Amino acid sequence: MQSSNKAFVALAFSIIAVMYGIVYLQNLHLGEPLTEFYLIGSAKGYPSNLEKGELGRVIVGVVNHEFEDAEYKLAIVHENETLREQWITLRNGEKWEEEIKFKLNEAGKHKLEFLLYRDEKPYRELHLWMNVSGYESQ
Amino acid sequence: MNLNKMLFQVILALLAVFFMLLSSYNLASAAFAAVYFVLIFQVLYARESRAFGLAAIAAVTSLILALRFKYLTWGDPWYEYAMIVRIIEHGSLAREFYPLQQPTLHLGIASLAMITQIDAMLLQKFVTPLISVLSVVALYKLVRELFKDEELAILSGLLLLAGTPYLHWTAQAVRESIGIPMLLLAVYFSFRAVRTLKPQYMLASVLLIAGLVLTHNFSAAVFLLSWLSFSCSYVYFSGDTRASLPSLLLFLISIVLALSWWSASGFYHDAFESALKLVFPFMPVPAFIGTVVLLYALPVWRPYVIEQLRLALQKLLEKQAVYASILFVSILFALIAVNLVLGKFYLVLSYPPSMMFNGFVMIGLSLAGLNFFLDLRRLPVLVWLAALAALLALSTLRVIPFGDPLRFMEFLYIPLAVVAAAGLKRILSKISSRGFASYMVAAFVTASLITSFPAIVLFGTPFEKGSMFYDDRNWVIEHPSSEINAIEWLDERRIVGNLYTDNYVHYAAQWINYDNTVQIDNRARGAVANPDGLPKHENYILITERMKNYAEFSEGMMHQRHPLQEWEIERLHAGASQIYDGGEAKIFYKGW
Repeated sequence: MQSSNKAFVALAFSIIAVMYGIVYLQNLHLGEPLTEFYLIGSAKGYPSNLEKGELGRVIVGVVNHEFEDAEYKLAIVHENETLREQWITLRNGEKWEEEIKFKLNEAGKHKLEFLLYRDEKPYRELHLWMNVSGYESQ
Repeated sequence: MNLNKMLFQVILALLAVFFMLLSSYNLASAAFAAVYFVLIFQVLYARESRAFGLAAIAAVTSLILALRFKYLTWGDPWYEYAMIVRIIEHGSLAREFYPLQQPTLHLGIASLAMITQIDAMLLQKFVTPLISVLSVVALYKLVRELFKDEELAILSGLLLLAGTPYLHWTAQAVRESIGIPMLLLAVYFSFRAVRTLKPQYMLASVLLIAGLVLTHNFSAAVFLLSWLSFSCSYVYFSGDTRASLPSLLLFLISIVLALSWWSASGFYHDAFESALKLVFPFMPVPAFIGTVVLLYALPVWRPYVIEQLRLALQKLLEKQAVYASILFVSILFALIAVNLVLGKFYLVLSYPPSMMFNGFVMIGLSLAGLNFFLDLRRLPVLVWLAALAALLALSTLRVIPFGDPLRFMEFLYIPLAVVAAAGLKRILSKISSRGFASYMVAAFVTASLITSFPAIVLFGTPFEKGSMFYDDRNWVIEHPSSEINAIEWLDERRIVGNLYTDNYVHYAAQWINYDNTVQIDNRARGAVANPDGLPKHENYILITERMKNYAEFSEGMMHQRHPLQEWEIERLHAGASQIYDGGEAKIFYKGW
């Protein structure tokens, strides 16, 4: 093989190798470790307005992008009273979603808090404001 | 052509790319800078394969942001991405879904993404800046064609690729990244066409001009001015009257193509017309075209008059007083440009002094190189530079209404690089050691690259507030994963309604509105401070931690920016539900 041909072959291989490396490293590029914590409303949207005793529904979700396994504690709090507590263990990239149902029996403005703990420390928090009307739901 | 040398240059370039990929680690950035420096030094010091080496340097330089950051940077590239997504989603260029109607970049990337099934953002990030390498190659070819001087051509290319405004626009994967090389290639091929009268060059330049018109309105308008100033002065000063009619023909083709497309696409025509009205108050477009026709026809119609004019001008250029006057006007233009960038005019800017490094050196080099162009054969480059500088100065002084005069800078740097290269060559001629001269230039180009971007690009971390190197741009050049995840989450929900946020998240979120179902509003401050005042609709408010330190809402560059205050965020918590928490990015919801 002539030296010019060798040079071209080496050139072509180097370019392909680096292009592959770029795509690979770009996909590997980690970014910052984080956890997504969210609420999804029903088809009618988020339960902003409810009637007394009406069943409210919302989906709670957690996605682990921490690049390691993570153990979370979910707490749902209403007026300083914990309505529910749950442990969730997720692998990196794993998602957890669950529908939460609740009823509010007093009219007025209510705040429902969703707290996510990691390593026993408050990590993420969400809240829903709801107006509950005085009419009894059928 | 020396293949071993080329291979060596490619290996250096690839090594630089590799280190830049790892540049979030400080040592890798230092290694990148070292390899980049060696590559430039090698190209300057070598006597062979220099043009190839220049292209390799341009390629590495253009990819700096693509390699450094995971996502697109700043704001404008996201707007381009939103247009690409719209084309992919709808498979159409109908104005309803593709309002921009400047399709070369968007259609090109969308088609490539659909054919290769590679992520469109990845393609936009890497392919678009790489195309800008052609502008360095085109400038190199143009300077070599004009002055038959390889050294000057290499230096011009190097100074262009390291020029701060040029680098900013070509590295960030926007329409300018393609518009600038097309403009330069169109000038090069048009010049070859009028000089040689060969039809293949004429055809190439017409195709390039048509492509440019479809790529970027503003670049096409700058081409019109560039070609008019450059070719007209070439015809007058060279005495080559044969070039007159082909030059006119190319100008007429350009303006007809541009005006037709602008009228058809419904944009820009009015802005162009109102700019012309400053000189031609009645029937501006026909009056302008008529004047240009007369300008080009005069050398053919009255060649002896032009000859007399040339002789008189040559004598005039030899006078010290004329040189002093041109020097004075150049300094005046430079002062206007410097004060604009310092934020002394109506734009509120706060760039750090380090970012001005390249600009100050370029001004110094240009003043040193001015003398070289006071010759009839070389004067067209100076006229080209003066025409663009006049536009920059007039828009800065608000004689011409133009929102962002900074956008003239990247085009101004093209002829400026040639004039500065002449100054640099003059200085280097005083240095006897070729090695030392190459070392100095390589150091300048490397330093220009490092200081052009905020510290986060190559230093990894920004300087603290209060430091003279503190740079607001560190906050907004990168879009963190938390912000992008929040935007993607909104897209997955297929939200319908209003999304309030700040300017930079607004840019990054535009792609989710491909069905025109989300009104994205960059005036989140009002929504944050008073969620109860929002319209009776589905309202989403996306805020990030960054906004507590730096936020731009609808102020633009005209007003001082203020970050979000804690009391404003507390009111948001009290008035709206928080439905998403991704750490640095939070989404609130206010429905009714």
